[in-house]
Order: sequence, then structure tokens, then C-alpha cells
Amino acid sequence: MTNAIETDGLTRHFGRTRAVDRLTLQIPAGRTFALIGPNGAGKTTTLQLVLNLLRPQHGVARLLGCDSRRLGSAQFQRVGYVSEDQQLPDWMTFSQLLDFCRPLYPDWDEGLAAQLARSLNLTSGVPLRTLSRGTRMKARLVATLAYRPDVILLDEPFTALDPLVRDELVRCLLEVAAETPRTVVIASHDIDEVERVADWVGFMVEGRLLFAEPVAALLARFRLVEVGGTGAHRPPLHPLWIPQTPTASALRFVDPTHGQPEAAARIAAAFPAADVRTTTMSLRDIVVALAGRASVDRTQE
Amino acid sequence: MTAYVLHLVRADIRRARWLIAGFLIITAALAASYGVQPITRADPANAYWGWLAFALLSWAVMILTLVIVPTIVQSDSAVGTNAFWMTRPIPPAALCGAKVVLLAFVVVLIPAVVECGLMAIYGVPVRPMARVALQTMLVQALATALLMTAAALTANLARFAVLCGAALALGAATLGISQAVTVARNASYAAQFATELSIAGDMSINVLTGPMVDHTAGIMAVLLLVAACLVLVLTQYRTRSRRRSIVAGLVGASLAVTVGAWWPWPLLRPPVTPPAWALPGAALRLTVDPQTIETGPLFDRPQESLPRRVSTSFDARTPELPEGWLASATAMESSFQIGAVHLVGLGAGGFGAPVTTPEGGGTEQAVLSRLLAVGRVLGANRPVEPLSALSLPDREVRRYAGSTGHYTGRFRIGLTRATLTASVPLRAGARAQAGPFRVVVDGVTTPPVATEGWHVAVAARESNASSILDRGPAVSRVYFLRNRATRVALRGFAPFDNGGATALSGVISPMSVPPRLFEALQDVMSSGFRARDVTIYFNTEPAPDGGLDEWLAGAELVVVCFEDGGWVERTIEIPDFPLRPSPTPPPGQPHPFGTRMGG
Repeated sequence: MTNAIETDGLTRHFGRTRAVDRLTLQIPAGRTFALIGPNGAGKTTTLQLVLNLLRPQHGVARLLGCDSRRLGSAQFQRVGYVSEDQQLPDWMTFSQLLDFCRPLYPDWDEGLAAQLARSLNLTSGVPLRTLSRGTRMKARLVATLAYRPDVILLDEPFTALDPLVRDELVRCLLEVAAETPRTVVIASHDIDEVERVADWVGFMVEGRLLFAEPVAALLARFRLVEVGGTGAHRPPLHPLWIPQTPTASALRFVDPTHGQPEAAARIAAAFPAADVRTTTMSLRDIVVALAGRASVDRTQE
Repeated sequence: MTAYVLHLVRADIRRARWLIAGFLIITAALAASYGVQPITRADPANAYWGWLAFALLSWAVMILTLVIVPTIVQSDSAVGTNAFWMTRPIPPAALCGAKVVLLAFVVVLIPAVVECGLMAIYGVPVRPMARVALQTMLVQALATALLMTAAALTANLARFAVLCGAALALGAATLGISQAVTVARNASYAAQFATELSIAGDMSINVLTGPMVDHTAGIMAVLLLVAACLVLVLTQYRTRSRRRSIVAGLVGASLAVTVGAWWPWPLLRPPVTPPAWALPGAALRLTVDPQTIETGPLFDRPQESLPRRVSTSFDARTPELPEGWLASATAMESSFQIGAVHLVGLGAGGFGAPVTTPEGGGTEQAVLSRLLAVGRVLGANRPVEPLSALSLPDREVRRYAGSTGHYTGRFRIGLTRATLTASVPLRAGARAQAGPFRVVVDGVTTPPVATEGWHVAVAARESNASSILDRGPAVSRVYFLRNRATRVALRGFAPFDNGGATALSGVISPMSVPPRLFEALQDVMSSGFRARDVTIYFNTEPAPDGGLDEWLAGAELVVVCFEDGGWVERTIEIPDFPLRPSPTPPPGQPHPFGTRMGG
């Protein structure tokens, strides 16, 4: 399987701040990849480096096999980018925006544009600047999906949108993505929405990628472990485990190695006579746990 | 690429349509306001409102230009990471090209076209009209390119305004420093000049330059500067890196300044060549009456910082001078040999003296009388100055005073051709046109003046079109009132209208760096299409015989054109040249050359 996006040692600093630090990442084509992490993790900067909106200081990024610094019209005709920060020609009406974009894309599908506009209740007639944030985001999405890009990059697409609009956007996105295998990258800290859409997930903290793997595999290997009946005896946790706030009756930690042969034995060895209970975790809980671990590691550094 | 550019131009036009329409309307209104000013000025009340409208419209055009350029450029910002075009299949070169095309059409072409319309109304022929339009486009292109540069380096109008303000402040500071350096250079130049004078004998200075300034270098510098600005803008669109684009722009600007300073081909130098009759060595041969040889101070107002110089002068004549031609001679270098002693003097530079024939031909009076077919031209009695022929240090003159030696002088004889350009009946509405020049008579008054004599004021409107692209010789025009019946003409005086030339000349001197660029821009300020109302004064004291009103009834307004006719060099050899002593001040009186008596 080819990669739609690859980065190798990608680095970008802003002064002393390491926005992206030696990022090496492969996003296979046809995947819906969620790039998640706390604010300031470097998600937006990563997308901007991939799109050549910023130049890397070290390393390289490739989009559709092309070095990001050499991206041209041919590549941008196959790439869609939606970000709330992206300026729209907001003096245009919605239909003028489509008129402006149409000649730029050989694969522009007027029927799809009309269908998306109907579906999202977008009407023309007033300048985009007079529309709400949600409606402007819808306009961006239609102007991006209408040419069926091979790669769609969404930067915080759900920020400050009401649930109804979020659902509409996600529905449209999934409809278009379902037609043919299409790579979708969503950079977001809205994990709940991402979990509904993404099949791969990458987690960034302070410019570094902690992991990138299929969501299913991630959900399968993370478990919340609650150990009851330990009394006052609480042995030190294995370094792989991520400590969680204990309850009055139980010790709690996250085991990121669930499913591995030695995982159960490791727990049993640590708590031989205890009452051990494991529960599945949501992507949100996993990310919160990992973010907490990263924060602790930072503090210790 | 063309399709992209046109698509983007269409979008920008839609974006800025009201601004563009406003610019077009106000530019046309400004031209109309300028065009009717000479008419409205006849009435003081109208003159005020006309001036006010013109001033306000000028400001409006300037402000609109300052708004249109950044609006169009920054609608697709070249800085930051969030412009819409940056993630769309829009080539940066096409985007930059679209901005250039649209702004060239709106800010560069439209003003030139509007000005052409005004010139057409004023009857300016096509060729001078085209040259003025090209000059206007050149200046507009430079201003637009500079504004595009500032707009491309900033994200919004506020930052653009801050950058422009900072650039203006920097420019003002640079000019101030340049002016201070110029003044300092002037001081050192004076000292250097004094030193050179004091060591006269081993060098000579040809203080004369060509008759006209050639603006090829300045125009090339402007064109390259525009290109440098466009390279900066394109680099900014391609790389979105201010550092890279500014470096590219600075390299281009340095190239422009260098080319402007060292441009070797004066393609626009006026083809001023002397007439065929003046080329043979026998023509314009200079003769000197030894009786007229005099010695006196070189400077009427000697400066203490300069060593005292003595100038020996004489009346120069030439056997013949064709009708309509005036000649003036200027010493370029001269020498005086007494036995084994060889003194080398300096030419007196710009102190040109008229060269006349022994019969009095070639004087202004004689030339104009023949040209105007009258017996007398009142007010045209320019005295015939002696020709300064040899400049020596005072101490040398005192040492060799009374000696006779061999004088050799090399002179440059400048020729001026006087031609009758136009004559207009002296009645309101009468009009004459000569090429791009037009004069219309509005009225004649005879204002009461305390002194005796004739005092006539002719109100007129004149217009002309000139540019730095003109290749013709230098021309000046003089008004005369002529009455053929009485065979008398009066020379007029029209206050000089520099058209804003002093706006720059006060702070930019040719010694500023880079000179050629500023010379071109400076001359732009004083050229172009000009239309003005003018009052031409004819004052003659004492009054000629007869009544003024009767004389005016048969008079006409005549325009005489004085045109640079080139120059030739001639040498004078005088074997027995007497070096007369310089005048000595009476006891107790300051020395006429100054207070410092040392040599």
C-alpha cells in the first residue's frame, strides 16, 4: 500500500518553541487518519508543513509522493484543505466561490457541488462574510469536496460548531469518502468526533508523535485495570502501565499492552491475590491517559 | 497560464469594482479640473473653488491609489499561511501576473489615457502626446511597483500603512542626510576649487557639459527599479519568505542604481548638431580688438575662502553671423606665454559673452528686429558683455603686469536659433498653436503704474507638452507685442511656472546619490502636460512716441522660440597680448578681490 503522506524527521521551530520535532509518519492511502493531541501539540503545523504553507527547517514531507516544497498545481488539484483559520474570499457569495473554484479543477463535479449544497442547506446571494462560522465551514467543505480530491486535510474542522452542523459535515465527508478510497486526515482535539470517523489515529504531544496505528488496534490494546483488595499494600507499578487516580477501594492504571501474551502474567505477578478487573476504554479515555503520562514524563525531564 | 491570469483578474475586478470605478471617475475629474483651471482662474472666486477642487481631487487620487494597490494585492495575501489561494491549484506566477496586469491597467494605463484625452482637447499632436503618456506611465509604474512591494510584504491595510509610513520616514531621513552631505561636499568642493585655482598652471577644467541632460540612464534605472520591485513581489508569492524576497529586491534595486550610475549609451541625447554653415573653420572665426582688453576681478563678490583671481577679458567679434542666429562664447582653457614662462589659465566657465559682428549683427536687438520685421524691439537691449578670456592668480598678474606675451584661448561658441513660432491677434479668444504649444489670448489691460511708460498686461492661457523622452533641443519661448505699422515691438515677461519643479529640486541636487535616477524624476516633475493661465507683462520706460491705446489696437502677440543650435570650438591666438595690471584699491579701501592679500 502506498502512502498518501510521509514525513521523515520533519522539524519546525518557532523561536525556541519546537512545534514539530523530528516527526516521522506514514499515512497510507485510503485511510481516514486522525491526528490528535492537546493544544500546541503541533498538529496544525504538521499539516501546514505537508501543504508547503510552512517550510521545514529539517526533514522532509511528501504529499502524494511529491516533496512538499515542490507542490504545484497538479498536486493541489488532487488535494483538499479545510481549516477554520483559512481565509475565504469572503466578499464572494457561495455561488461566486464555486464559480471561482470551478475552472481551477478539471475534476470539478457540478452535480456533486449542487448536491452537497442542497444537503448542507447552503444558499447563495449574500457575501460569505455575513454568514455564520458553521455556514462558512460548510462552504469551505463544499468547495473542497466538489472536485473529489484524493487527499482531504481537515484542520480542526469541528471547532466551535454546534452538534447539528458537526453531524452534517461528518455525514457529507463520509459520503464522499465512501465513494472511492480516499485519504482523509483530520487534525483535531475533538476526540469524540474523530472516533466516529477515523480508522487510524496518530497522537502528538509537543511536536512529537507518540504513536500512529489503527484505531481498532489501539482500542484492543488499551485497558483500564482496577485492582481491588490490595489494602495498604500497593506495589510499584510496571513502567509500561499508566497510573490513574485510585479510588478508595481500588488501585487503577491503564495497561497499553493488553492482548500480549505476557500482559496478563505481568498483572498477575504484581497483584497475585488481588481482585483484578479490566475494562475497555474509549479513544477519548486512551488519549487522556496518554496525555497525562506525557505530562508526567515532561515534568520528570 | 493566460487562462489562470484572466480568471484571477476577473475575480479581482469583481472584488475591487467600486474602487476601480471610483478611481476612474476621480482621475477623469482631476484631469477635467486641471484642464479648466486656466479658464476658471479668470474669476478669483472661481479660481479658489477650482483650486480647491483640484487639490481635493489630487488627494483623492493619491489616497485611492494607496488603497487600491494593497486591496488588490492583499486580496490574495503573499504572507502568512492562511490565504485561500495557497492550497488551491493557483500558480504563484499567475497570481502575481494577474495583480500586475490589473494594476497596470488601472493605476498605470488609465491615468495616461485620461491625460491623453486632455491633451487631445488641447490640440497636442500625437507624438509629443505619446511621449508624455509614456512618461506618465513610467512614473505611475514606479509608484505602483513600490506600493505593490509594500503590499506584498504585509498582510493587511493597517500594516501596509505602517510600512509605507516607515519607508517615508526613512526616505525623508535619507534625503536629509543626503542634503547634509551635499552641503558638506559643496564646502569641500569650494575648498578644492580654491586649491585648484591656486595651483593653476598644471591643469585645466572643462567646466562646460553637454547642452542637455540625457535621461536614458535615469529611465533605465526607473525601469530596472520597477523590475526589481516586481521580482520582489513574485519571489514573495513563490516563497512567502520575506527574507528571500527582500534580498531579491535589494539585489535588483542595487542593479538598477548601478546601471543608472554607469549606463554608457545616451540613447535619448538630443541630436543637437551645429548648422552646416558653422562647421567650416572659417565660419565663426573670432577676432579681438586689442583696445578692448581689460583686467578685473574674476568674481564680483570674492569669497575669503578662495584665492584671488584676475580675469582678463576682451570684446570678441566674428565677421558674419546668419540671420536669426545668436552666438555666445565661453572660454574653455587659455594660456599666456611670456618668454620661457608659461602661464595656464582657467576658462571662466559659464560666463558666456555674446559674439557679434563688427556691424552690430548678432545682438539680440538686431536679431529680433529682423525676425519681427520691426525697427526697434523695446526691452531687448541686453548689454554686450566682454568675453572673459584668461583667469590667473592675482599674484601672477601682479608679477607679470605690463608684459606682453602670446595668448592662446580655446572657446566654445554656443549657437541659438530664434524663430517666430506664432502670432496671435490681440483680442480675446484668439489662439495660436505650434506643435504641442498653444496660447489663447483672454484679454489685455493697461494697469496704472506710478512710473512713466507703457505698461501692458496680456492675460492668456498657454499649454505645452514635454517629457524626459523628448529628443529635441532645449527650447525657450518669449512673448512679444508687435505693431507692424509702427515697426515697434515690446519684449514681454511671463512669470516662470515651474510646475512644481522646486518640489524636489530643493532637496535633491545632482550631487545626491544616485544622481541620474533623481535627475530623471526631478525633470519629470517639471515636464509632462502643462496648462496654465499666464499674465504677460510688457513694461517699457520711457514711453515711446504715440498713444498706447492706438498702438495696442494694431498690435499682435508674437511668440519667438529660442532653440539650442549646437556649438563649435574656436581658438584665438594673439601674439602680442598685453597683460594689463589689475586695479589697485585706493588707500584705506578694501581690496576689490577680498580682504586676504596672501597668495
